[in-house]
Amino acid sequence: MTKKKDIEILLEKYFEGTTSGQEEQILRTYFTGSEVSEDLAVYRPIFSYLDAEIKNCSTAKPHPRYISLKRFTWPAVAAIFLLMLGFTAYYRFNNTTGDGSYVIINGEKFSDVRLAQQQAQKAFEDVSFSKDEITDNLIPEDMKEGLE
Amino acid sequence: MKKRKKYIIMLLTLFFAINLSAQEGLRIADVFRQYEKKHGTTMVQLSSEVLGSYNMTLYKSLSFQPSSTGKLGIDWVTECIELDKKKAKKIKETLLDGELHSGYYQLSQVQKGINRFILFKVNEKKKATLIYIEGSLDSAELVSMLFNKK
Repeated sequence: MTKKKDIEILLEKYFEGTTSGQEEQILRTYFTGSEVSEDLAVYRPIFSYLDAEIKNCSTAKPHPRYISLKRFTWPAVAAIFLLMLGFTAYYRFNNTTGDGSYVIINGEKFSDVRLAQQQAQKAFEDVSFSKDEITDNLIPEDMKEGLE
Repeated sequence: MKKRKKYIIMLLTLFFAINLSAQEGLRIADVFRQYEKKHGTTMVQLSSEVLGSYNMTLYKSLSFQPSSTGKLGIDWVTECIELDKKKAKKIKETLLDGELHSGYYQLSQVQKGINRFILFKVNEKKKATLIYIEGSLDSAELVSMLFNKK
């Protein structure tokens, strides 16, 4: 009888929202047991449901842990930057456009500065022009005949 | 957030400073890349150490024989030069039968005090010479050098 009285007090507290976790556990244990007083049996479904839900929650698989991608942003930026730098360095190395003086003849590279200067001089002469060439380009053929 | 922006700008600036030589960004850089290792081609690069007395900081020349047809033939080469020509502030060209025979181009500066020039010529044997020059020398100095060579 004392137990029933205690349960009634706990119920009252429960519906007022002032029960502790432990007191709610007592209520759930009572209402899921076999000795539920007939006049309190009306509350059995509520506490049975709650008890079942709590058990489900405790046995449910934990939520997967999501890892924020934000934390990888800066390392990713740095990695991309280094990759770009690496690719460019590799590309430049293979295309021999780096610093220094050299000459490539028929695909073979020579670092002899004198040879490079000699070949540079030759190329420069190839694009240079003489007075005759200027005259040739500026004066039309028919006019040249007249001049001669 | 502002710090991050600064960091990105700093990284990008560093990247471009390391990677951008003035010739990069010009289409003739592609011509150099395509032809420099080919048989029958002579490619020269002279750096500032050997060019000091000419007021040049970089000299690159390519003497090559572009094919008259094909994807990377003479048409492609002149097309590359035509595209770079758009960045030129001084242009001197001679055409033979409507085709580019020789070209002299002074490009706009990308670095203060450093002039950039492209010289191009095709001879009677269809051998082409392409030269790229960077330096403090001005147009008059270069023309004078070209004029005295023959």
